[in-house]
Amino acid sequence: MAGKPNTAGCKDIASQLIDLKDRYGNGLEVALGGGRKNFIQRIDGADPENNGKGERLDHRDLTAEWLADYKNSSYVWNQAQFDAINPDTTDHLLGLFNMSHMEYEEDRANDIGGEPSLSEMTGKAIEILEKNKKGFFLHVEAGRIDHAHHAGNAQRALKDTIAFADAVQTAYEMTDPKDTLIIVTADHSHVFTIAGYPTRGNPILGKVIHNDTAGNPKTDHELAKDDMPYTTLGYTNGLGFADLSIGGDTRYSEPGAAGSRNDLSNIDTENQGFHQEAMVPLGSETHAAEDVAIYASGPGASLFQGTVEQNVIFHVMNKAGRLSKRSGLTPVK
Amino acid sequence: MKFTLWRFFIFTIALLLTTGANATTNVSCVYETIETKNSVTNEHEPRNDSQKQPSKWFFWRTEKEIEVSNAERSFGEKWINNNQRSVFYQALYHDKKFLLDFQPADLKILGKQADWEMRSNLFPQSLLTQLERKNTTKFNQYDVVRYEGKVAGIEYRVDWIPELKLPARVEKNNSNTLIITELKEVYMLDKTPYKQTSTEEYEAMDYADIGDNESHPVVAQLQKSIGIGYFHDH
Repeated sequence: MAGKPNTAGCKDIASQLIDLKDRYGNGLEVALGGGRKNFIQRIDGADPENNGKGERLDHRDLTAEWLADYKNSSYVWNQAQFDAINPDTTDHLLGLFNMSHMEYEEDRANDIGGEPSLSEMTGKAIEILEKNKKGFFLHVEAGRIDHAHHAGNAQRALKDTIAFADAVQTAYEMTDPKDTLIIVTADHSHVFTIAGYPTRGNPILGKVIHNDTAGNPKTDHELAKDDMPYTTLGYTNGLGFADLSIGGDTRYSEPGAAGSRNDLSNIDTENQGFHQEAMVPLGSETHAAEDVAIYASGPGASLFQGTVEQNVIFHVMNKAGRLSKRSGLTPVK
Repeated sequence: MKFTLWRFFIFTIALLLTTGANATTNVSCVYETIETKNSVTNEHEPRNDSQKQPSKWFFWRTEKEIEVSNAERSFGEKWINNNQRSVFYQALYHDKKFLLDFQPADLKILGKQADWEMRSNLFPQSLLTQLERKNTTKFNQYDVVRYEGKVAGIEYRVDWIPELKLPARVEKNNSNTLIITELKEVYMLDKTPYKQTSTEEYEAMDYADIGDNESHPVVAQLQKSIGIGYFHDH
């Protein structure tokens, strides 16, 4: 961390994560994800994958501290090392698989060092955490769904959503709903729209095909008032249409095309490089304000009914896990 | 024994020559680029109708880092090569004390994987070898070799400084545009009066985080003006 926040006394998140042990219990048991550069020093050779530099200017190597601070601890940064971790003999696992964010699921296979999937990380985390008879809290985030939407690339957003669904399934299958509360929700939505009336079974990334009056699918794409086909999926703002060889964050380096229609007749809209059309031209697609869903199973899941404030999630978790009671702190009503 | 020593001696010389050939001189340069658009008024007589203002730019090079900056020192670019395998890129917005970090994976998907040799020498060696070697002149104390020729419809005239592995002058002429890049000043890096701007205290953002920072004042400004991840080709 550089500049004003640092001089104002703010602590960077990476060091907070490592220093948690000084404030709460024995700290974290498992932390897996990207952001490796924030854990290693800005000196040549600090990064084992690229032999390059990290970002830390405080002379701290947080990966080394993790290993020094905990018994039976491991630090891994690639798929092979991750696969070799034995959860029975590992009590503290730090995995940092990318200097920046982890890859989109679409691009994961191309990563040089290799990255585990969200489902694999979830499974390994549970195997380590479930050794604690008092129970555990595990937070799993599919953070790149959001990034793909910002770039206006529904294919990557949906593929990461599927990876997230796989992770939820892994968590569900590895735990017992009698004693494990699983909550699945989002922190916000996006201005991501699903246009009406494509025929049943039409590819979600495809161009809209209607049914005929008999209820059977037509053979041709439906045309808008401008005589051009349109996709089921779209965004109300952002950079808009692009048909790139590789989609995703590449979109930010291309000119914006929102606010006008494009003839998609000869465009493969299901391709990973396709970016949906958008109405209002912005530098990136934005979050939206509608309510998000809360899905839950296990103890306390029935408390999620109707429309609730977001802080209700905490109270349900608190009740199911008897967290404040067990902490010895003043119970939260 | 003599035979073995002799072979060792030859091997050592070969190694030294090889090392010398690949060694990078740490330099600081000032270049100037001028671009002239030609419009054809008749088939045989191109008419020079627009000439952009010459643009001065700075160039710093070490074995592991290459940096360029515009004349105003408001915007720069840095390529970092840690192990001859992975190249990182930073877009440096000096006037905003802000930098964008591009990982090798970002450059790969952007199709902007840096050709290190091209960035380091400012002219591709593979192209230089296709040109005809002409006379030799001088730039300051350095020998300069003139190369000329036409490749893929583009005429090149290159004044090459072998010792620095940098061009003293490049003329690139196609039917529409004449681009001339000239070396104006050159210094050993430790003697240069043009120091690189320190970015240690800059706010850094990953390229992948742009989309989630739509309200960030610098990101918003960049998206409206020069664009994100501006890659300059000299």
